[in-house]
Amino acid sequence: MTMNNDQIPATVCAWFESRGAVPGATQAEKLGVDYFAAGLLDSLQVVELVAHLEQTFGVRFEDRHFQQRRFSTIGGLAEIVAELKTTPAP
Amino acid sequence: MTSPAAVTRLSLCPDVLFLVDGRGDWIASNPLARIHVAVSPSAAELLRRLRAPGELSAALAGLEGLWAEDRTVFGPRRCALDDATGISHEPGRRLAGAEAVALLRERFVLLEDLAAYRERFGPKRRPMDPDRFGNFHQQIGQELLLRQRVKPDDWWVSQKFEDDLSGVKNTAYRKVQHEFLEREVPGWGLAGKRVLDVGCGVGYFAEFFRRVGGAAEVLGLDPNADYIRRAQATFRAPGLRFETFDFAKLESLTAHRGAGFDLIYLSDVLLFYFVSYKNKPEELAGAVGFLSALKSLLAPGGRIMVMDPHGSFSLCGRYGDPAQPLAVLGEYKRRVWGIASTLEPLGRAVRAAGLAVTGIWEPCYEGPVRDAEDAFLKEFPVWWVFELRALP
Repeated sequence: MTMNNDQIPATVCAWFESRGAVPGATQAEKLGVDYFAAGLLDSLQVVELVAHLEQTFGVRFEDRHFQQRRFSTIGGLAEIVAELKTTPAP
Repeated sequence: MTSPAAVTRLSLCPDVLFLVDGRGDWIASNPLARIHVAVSPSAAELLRRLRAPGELSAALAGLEGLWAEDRTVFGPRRCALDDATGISHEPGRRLAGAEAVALLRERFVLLEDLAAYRERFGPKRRPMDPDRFGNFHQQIGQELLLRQRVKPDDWWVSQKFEDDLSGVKNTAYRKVQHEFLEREVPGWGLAGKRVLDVGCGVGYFAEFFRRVGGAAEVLGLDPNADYIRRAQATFRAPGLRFETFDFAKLESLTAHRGAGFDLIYLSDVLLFYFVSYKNKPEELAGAVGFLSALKSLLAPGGRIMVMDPHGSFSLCGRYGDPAQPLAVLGEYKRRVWGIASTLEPLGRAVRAAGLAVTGIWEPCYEGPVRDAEDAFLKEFPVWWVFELRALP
């Protein structure tokens, strides 16, 4: 799947919206939502999220990503994915 | 213009111990946070200079060849009772200069704010909570789901038993738990008796009580339906039964089972009633209710045997060498990482349930010492076992 990095936030957001309403009137507000604090995901559903993003974007999250504060927001996830897509595999 | 480093005041984390590992590297080891970083001799000098808070730029003056390497792993890999200290003995990615300093800050070897660091010790308040380290259950959940990408329920069985459930793997489970039961169960007087295994999992020990103890009837209960299906498919013998069962309904067993049980066995079950225990009476109520329900299921003269992770040593830091293993405790009364009860709340729950402790064992490994794990398990008990009987 070929995808421009500009499309990543909307694609990540769409996954959350396919599972229920994401709070926020604008795309920018939705990207800032802390999806754990908003109760959109539990710990088991995180596994589905990670698997979905890895398969969709052809990336692999590393331990350090799970420890980052931005992992908890939709926009932060999109940032991490964009970075992974542009960083050559070690 | 002042560089950002020049205005940063840092200090060495007071929880850090320094070790020299088998490769000759200095390890800045934090047994509370279970975080470990190998450092160059010059980085060790930097940390020495920052014993008192100081300007980073001044502390860096004259230091060359600075590097740091994260040596942290989540300890329990083969089994849940593996060494939880979390020191990796494999070389990691070596970072130099400013990146090394950044790693030391990221991994809490160097601190900007001691109070904020202390706040990180506590259970995660939500999945992936980046502000708290979390307790053992939370960390192992994250390890299994996100790093190893395995289902915790499946892993739990595979880390303990052989794939065909023919035996217990050669970990602490066999060296301590299984060997203790092999030594003791023949003397428990189970021949012709009724046994209830509460939290029987995949049924191995329920069958063990029938085969080794000679029990006439063994009923294994577990809330996990997949485990019970596997137990039913694997262990078939007269008098051996397994049922999926919600422990909240234990008292209802009395009504339709008739006579009570001579032995009720709990292995790694009771701890879950104490995980969030904070010395508050209302939090003890769950354990009291559970034990009271078990008591109502006992036959006259019957007993409850509780095998639980040891309140001190089950997940404590393991240091030292096989000649003299060291156990490093960072907590006892205030449980942050540990998940087992300490003695006092356990004793209060037992008493409030109308039971009395009539026996205590602290099983250790009794075989030959081949490595550091054997040495630790020989010196320190990672489970304790209580015999409980009804008060008159």
